[in-house]
Amino acid sequence: MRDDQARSVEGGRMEIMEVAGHAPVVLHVSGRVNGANAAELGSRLGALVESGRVAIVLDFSHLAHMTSAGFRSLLHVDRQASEVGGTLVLCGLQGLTRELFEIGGFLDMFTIAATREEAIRRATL
Amino acid sequence: MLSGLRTRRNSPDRTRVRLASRRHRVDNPGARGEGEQAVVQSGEARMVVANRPEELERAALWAADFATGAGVPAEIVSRLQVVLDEAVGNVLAHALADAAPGSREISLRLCREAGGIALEIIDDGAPFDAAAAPVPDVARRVAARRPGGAGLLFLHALADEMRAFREEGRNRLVLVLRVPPAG
Repeated sequence: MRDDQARSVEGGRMEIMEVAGHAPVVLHVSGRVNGANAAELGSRLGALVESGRVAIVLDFSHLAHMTSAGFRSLLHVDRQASEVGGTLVLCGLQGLTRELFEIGGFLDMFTIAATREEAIRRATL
Repeated sequence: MLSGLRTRRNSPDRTRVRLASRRHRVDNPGARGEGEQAVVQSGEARMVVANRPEELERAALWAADFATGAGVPAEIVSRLQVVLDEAVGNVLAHALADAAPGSREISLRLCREAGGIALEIIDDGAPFDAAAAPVPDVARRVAARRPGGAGLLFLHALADEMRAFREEGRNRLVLVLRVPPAG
């Protein structure tokens, strides 16, 4: 699917959609990431890393929020990717999602890009 | 503090969420035009969840349904969902850490009043005072790249009030998010 076709489901259940056609894996994570689905997010990303797809971009432009359970999963995957020379780059931080990154000090714990294009560039390096 | 939060005689600092079921009419002529009024639906909702992480999604949907119907703006509904997830997550991780998943119940109650929305969480687990638990130092967490304690940081940042009680072998946590008048 084309990038601009990514459906916004802000506030809804978590959805993870892969955007085809990029060298790094680009995933849209939309809806809510919370204690109920953080493990699913972690296992989806962990499976990518284990399959050798270690350059990963996560686009959060349609994410309503992510609670601490999601941050734990994400940090775990970030470490997993780093250990095998991969990169996890986040983009699309906005609204409450960005605020939670700031409150928790997570802006300094992850590689964060201002735009998806920049994120893809950084994940490719 | 919300007017709906009243004293309970046997609680340490004499607070409880009072049951409420009425409609408030909030005058806001400046924002809505002369004579128009915003209606804030008061009331309360209760829910019982089992001590399983999967229940957090059901609780999030329940909270959004009630709060949205009670006139809480979407932005604050999202904050309420974060607060609920963190607070119940703490119950699962601390107070009920030793309980088999699905073996215990956690009672939730939401109370909407004109000034905001209150969330009450009651569990019968080990004593855990989320309001008194030490809030981690952000800089130290960043340096160590450790996510631990983020939930408490989120609770303190997003909730306008947080009070914890130990009553009759139960933990009771009350969190309040203020809701500005519509306009």
